[in-house]
Amino acid sequence: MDYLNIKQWKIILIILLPLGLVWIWFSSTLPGVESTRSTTAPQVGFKAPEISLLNLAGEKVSLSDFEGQVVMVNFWASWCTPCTREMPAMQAVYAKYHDKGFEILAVNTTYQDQKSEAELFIQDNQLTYPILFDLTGGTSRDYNLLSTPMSFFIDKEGIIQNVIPGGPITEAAIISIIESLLGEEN
Amino acid sequence: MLPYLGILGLAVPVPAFTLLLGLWLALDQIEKKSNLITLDKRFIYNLAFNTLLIGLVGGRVTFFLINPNLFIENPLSIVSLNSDLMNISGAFLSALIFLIITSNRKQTSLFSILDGFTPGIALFAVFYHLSNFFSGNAFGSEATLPWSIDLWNALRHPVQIYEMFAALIIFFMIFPRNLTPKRKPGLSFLYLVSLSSLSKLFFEAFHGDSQTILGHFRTLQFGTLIIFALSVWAIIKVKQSKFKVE
Repeated sequence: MDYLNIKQWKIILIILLPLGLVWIWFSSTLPGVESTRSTTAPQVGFKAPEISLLNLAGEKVSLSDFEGQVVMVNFWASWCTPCTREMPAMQAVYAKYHDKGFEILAVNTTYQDQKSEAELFIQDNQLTYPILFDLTGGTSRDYNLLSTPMSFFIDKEGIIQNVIPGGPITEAAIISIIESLLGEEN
Repeated sequence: MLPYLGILGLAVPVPAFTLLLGLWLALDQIEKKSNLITLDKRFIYNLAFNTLLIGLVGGRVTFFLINPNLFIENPLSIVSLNSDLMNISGAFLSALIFLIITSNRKQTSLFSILDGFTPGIALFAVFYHLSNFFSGNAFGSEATLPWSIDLWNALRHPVQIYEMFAALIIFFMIFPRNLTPKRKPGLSFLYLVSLSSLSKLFFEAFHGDSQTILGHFRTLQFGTLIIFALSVWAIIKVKQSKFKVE
């Protein structure tokens, strides 16, 4: 780098500026972001994998039922302390924002948890948002879940906009994310 | 992609671990290559560490100042570990203000300090891209090449690996083994900025997560081209200056 003199640096600038513009134009013809929105994957920018699980009442609940709403998909287990510590914050946000088009799907990783323990926790904490039970681990696999808690924030078009591994996530963090997603159409 | 590694029954988050390792080695490089600048090695090492802390605190404080309503009911959330409660611009700005104040107080040029940080930043970039490879973030666009990787349900460019090697080459271009302390202040940092922006301009074309403007143009490429032009212009200005290196 040091052996280049002032004249050579000027030549580099003169050559690379127009070349850079040509490269930007050429890059725009290469495959880019558009393809990810139609592909399903548990990653920001992709369409969220479908969820179809039974809730506490034994009814089938699907992610596609909430199209047009902002959805927080949260994976949890009753033995996982960060999970149980963040759920009251989730309940507080749910109470405030549910009417504005916000939904929570809390997926219990039942295949590695006791359903009775999970039900007891829901009852004790008076959680009112939908709790779903992943009995086989299929949904957890679809979401590439390797640890709990893990939260996915999905926009009104079903695209994942934020992934938060670990926890406990605070009320402030949830609100800051969902407010921007709820306000997108304005 | 390797998000977690099972060690002694614990799930170690590999991307975060890679970033931490990168940070540790970056600080080590700042200390080791301090002979290339005129500043004391303990001073530059401590300054790098303090700048990181100030940046983190500044990012959180800025976020709080912009969104005070989020903390009314739970003020303790301000000290929570959620990385989403950060304002990146606030973090950079507070770190920069801290550096400007320190350079004035110690009567040393900001360029010398930035030169002192350059080995660390250049090395950290290598680990940053490696961390993205392990987490699957900053992924490449779809491509059927012999070296394509299967990621997010498609064969893709391993763009994180391209960028990691580019960062490694940049590091050795700026700091070759035979480098002696005779550069004018600011040149190391400006070399890093110009080469990194050029690398980003080129490899952004192979990203699958690019933000676009005006149809299909990748936003970051415009930004990096402007930064590249400004940094080369600054290199020319520094080289034209009459500053003599002792």
